[in-house]
Amino acid sequence: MKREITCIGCPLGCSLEVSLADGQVVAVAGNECPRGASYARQECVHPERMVTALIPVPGRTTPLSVRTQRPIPKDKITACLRVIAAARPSLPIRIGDVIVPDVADTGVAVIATRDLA
Amino acid sequence: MIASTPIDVLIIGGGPAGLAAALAAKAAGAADILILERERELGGILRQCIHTGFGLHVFKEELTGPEYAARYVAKINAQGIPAQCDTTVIDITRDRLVTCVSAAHGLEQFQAGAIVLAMGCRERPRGSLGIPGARSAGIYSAGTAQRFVNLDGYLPGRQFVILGSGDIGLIMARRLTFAGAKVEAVVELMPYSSGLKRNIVQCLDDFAIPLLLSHTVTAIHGPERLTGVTVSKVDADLHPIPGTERHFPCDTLLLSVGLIPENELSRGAGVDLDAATGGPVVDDRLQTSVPGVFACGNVLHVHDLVDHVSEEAAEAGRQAALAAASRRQAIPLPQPEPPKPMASPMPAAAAGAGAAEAAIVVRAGDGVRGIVPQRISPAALTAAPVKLMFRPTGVHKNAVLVLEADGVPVHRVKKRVLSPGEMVELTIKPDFFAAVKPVRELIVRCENA
Repeated sequence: MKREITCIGCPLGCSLEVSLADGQVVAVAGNECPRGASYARQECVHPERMVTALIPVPGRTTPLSVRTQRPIPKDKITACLRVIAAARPSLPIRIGDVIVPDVADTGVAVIATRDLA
Repeated sequence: MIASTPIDVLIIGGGPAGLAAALAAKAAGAADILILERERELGGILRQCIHTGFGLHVFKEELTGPEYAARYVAKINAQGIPAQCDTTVIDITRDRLVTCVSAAHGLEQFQAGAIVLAMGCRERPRGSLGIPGARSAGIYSAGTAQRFVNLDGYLPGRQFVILGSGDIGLIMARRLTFAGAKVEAVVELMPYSSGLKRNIVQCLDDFAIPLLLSHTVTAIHGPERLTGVTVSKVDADLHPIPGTERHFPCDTLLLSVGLIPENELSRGAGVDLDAATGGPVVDDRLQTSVPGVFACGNVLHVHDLVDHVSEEAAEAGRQAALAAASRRQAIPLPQPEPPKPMASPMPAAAAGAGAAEAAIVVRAGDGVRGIVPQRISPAALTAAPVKLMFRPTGVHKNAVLVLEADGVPVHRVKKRVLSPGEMVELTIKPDFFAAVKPVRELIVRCENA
């Protein structure tokens, strides 16, 4: 199987043609440097993303901004957003407070990125 | 007349630049510092940048904007540096008299020993684009929409088209998608995006949002609320090509078409501005053409990374503290003092080092635009490395940057790729100029462009 992805290593943004077999990268073409190959291995096998989101807090204009403490698997983003949307944190909240201890079975916590009193 | 309050170092703006400048001014021994901020909290634009990607250089970890700001605000508080929020500066004079207004204190004036301009930038508005069509409701700059969503807690629409592929627009495409809205397309006039590749991949590709390069919005529909836009392909001269029109239904159009340093106050103070950067002309110490007035961050030139803003602002804050100190020492004191290095009535540090000798002019040559600093004192050039920052005019592969001193190439550096979306740094070292002295003009240009 072949996949086309764009390398994010530098502004060159090489178009990478990644050959996959049994979910593993067997060849990478189109990269102008080794960073492209290692990015392709990560992105095609275990793509991960940091997720940031907002939680509306009753009685407050500004929503609570939160983030995952570490990147989570890309295919968990939707589930992660759903869990965050259902969270009902109680005030006051301090920056760094854990809002969801383990989001969508990723083992990653969701933490507050601001104070909200 | 109202009495003016003397302040050693006055900082205009409490965003990332102002905060870093204040901390550095304090560390450099400024007697008293005051930050004036027009919003109700410190942090500037970082407050609404809830995505990650901040702090990799300064803190060696990936933070969100509010977290990055909070770390600086904590340091400001720990140092006891005063900040007055909800306060808008309305005037700065050449003599560093600063007038501001606030609900809490009314009209106030401060006489500053030195000023750091740290007002940041604003977004290019629709009016500067000349898009034909209706003046419908539902057209916002991307940063305005970002504020609505992230700070004010509401979505400005349900179905979006984004014109311009600047990073704020890309980040908003993902945020709106997360919030349940539909982003139909991101439309970019140029054949390349000025946004980071990472943002194109993670904000557009991840959600299958099309990026239409070499396209623009050619009509806006809906007399009341926006109902849709017409998008056309453009030719090499950026003119719309008839027959390529496509209709996109949408209730909201976001503009992410560039940032402009906010220099109304600087202009009022008589600070010389640079047409290429939109910010003040500064020397190697980040001092503007008005002695004692320094500039840093996005008010000086629009940066890509807040980490670089913090570094630049720290230098401006340090220089402002030194300038204010030498100004204080210039006031005759009754007690005997050690002899000063300069006997001139205007201390060298305050008047701009090299006030006696003409500053070296730094200019952008072919393929390069918006160099900062625009002036370097001859003393600084031979004393220590000086960092030049600029942008290429287009995407250049396998380019060579050439530094010329009075027409003589003195340094060449190869770059695998240059893109207008990424600021370039070029450090010039004293030994480059061993053969050419004295230097009057430096030019940076890009070969194979």
